[in-house]
Amino acid sequence: MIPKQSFGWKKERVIQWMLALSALLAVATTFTIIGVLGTETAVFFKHVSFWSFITGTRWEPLLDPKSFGILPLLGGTLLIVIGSGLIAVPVGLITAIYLSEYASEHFRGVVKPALEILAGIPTVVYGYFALTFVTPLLRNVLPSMQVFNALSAAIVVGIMILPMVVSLCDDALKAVPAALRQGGYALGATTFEVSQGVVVPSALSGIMASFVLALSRAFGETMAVTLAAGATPNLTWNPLESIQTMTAYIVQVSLGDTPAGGIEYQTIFAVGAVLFVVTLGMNVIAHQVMRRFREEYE
Amino acid sequence: MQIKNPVLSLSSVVVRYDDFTAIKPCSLEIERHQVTAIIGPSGCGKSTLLRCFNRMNDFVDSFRLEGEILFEGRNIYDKDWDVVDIRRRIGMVFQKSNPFPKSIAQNIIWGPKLNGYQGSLDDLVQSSLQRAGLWNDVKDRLHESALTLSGGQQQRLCIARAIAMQPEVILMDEPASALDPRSTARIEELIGELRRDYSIVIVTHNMQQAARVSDATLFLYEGELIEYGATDKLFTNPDVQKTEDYITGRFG
Repeated sequence: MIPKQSFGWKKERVIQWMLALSALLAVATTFTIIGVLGTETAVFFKHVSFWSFITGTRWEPLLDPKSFGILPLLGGTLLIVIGSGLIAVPVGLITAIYLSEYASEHFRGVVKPALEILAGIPTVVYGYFALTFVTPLLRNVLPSMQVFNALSAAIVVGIMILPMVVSLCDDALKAVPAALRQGGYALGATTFEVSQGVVVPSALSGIMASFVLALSRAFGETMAVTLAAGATPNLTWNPLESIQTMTAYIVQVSLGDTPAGGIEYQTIFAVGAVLFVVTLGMNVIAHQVMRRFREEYE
Repeated sequence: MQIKNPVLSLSSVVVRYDDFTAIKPCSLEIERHQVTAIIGPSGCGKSTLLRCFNRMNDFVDSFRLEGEILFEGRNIYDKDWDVVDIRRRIGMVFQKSNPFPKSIAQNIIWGPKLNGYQGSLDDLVQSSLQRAGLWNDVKDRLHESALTLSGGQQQRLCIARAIAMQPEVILMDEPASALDPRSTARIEELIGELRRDYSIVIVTHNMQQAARVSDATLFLYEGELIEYGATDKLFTNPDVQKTEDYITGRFG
């Protein structure tokens, strides 16, 4: 608190309280959202058993016989997360290593802005791109692929989260002190050996955290998957089939004519709660990974 | 200065960073199995000269070198000589200790493993740490992180790490400047012992240290080799006035 002795302390106190209020506003908003999610989800679970929700393999909330197993939606989301991760994680890490350890300033000056542009493309454009470019292209090679499918969506989501992986990994690599690299080089190691043996292991916690954050972004991705992955809750490992992610389901029901108050309406909150809990959990994990395993260089 | 058995020799070497001449034309030889100190005021080019010997200056874009630096009779700046091989044989210890954030043992074996070291790694760790005077301190915790060591211990670990590569020359860039007097004394003692097996070139801004530790001393001033001779003589009866002015503290 501003001490009473300093000049103009009344005015300072007022400003202090106003700033505190703004901060509280953010907290209040968060708790309101959590509160609404929580209460509406509780209503949902009055009608549907938690166990059948978590383990059920059939999601049919609208037509009889109704079934509220989340696994098809969760499976659809996971297909996208895993698929996009398989693209973004290795390519992103290797790109970041190249930019940090090998590339000239000139090269960095070209690639970094390009990645920023990639990161700035609206997600709906990625969805459209998947539908009108990626799917037709892949169907030439894989004729059994459906028009709406998980693979095309996973590919564009991978491209979408790639800049995030590169940027965060680059930060992690750049944080490794030059002295460590010099020590490695002075022992007679090549750039590859120094990168792989000294720099990357020294930046590991930041790199791991970047993966978790990028995957949590893929988990919550909405527009691209709504446009490209399909609206068919379908528990499958086959990426050529049409699926529906949790986010796409919420869009579908919200835009449709489901009346408020019915069980179908409550499903929005239940699915939303799962999304919230998982992405929150992933962010917490990323945070903990950074905190507990943060390498010290001193 | 008469060199009986040179390990390194410079022949008309000039070093430039773009237009700035860091080392003026310089020719000299470094005696094998001796400690050679490079002294001079800040910014005179001591570290630059040292880093030429293991091509660490190559990392600076504007670095240019004329002349030749011969190691075992061959020019180390020869395009055909892989710089990685040179650095394995000419090791370096830096001013601020820079152990890898790995275990103590892993720090020591990382370099030799890359080199395809065939013998027992455990023996290598022990002998390197013993040579560096660190074995007794760490023998029970070889698998703990190197960062748990004190500053002086970390520096001795870096020396052990350099020794593990079994180099012929060890370059030391002000190895004790970040350490307290007791650790400094231990490092100086270590340097004295190491001269049996290695040739050592040490840069130091501490003249007393150079006088204590080295057999031959090289005085650099503004990139120019002013005097190079046996340590005893240089510090008691230097040939050049400027040397005398520097060692008596008339300028820093």
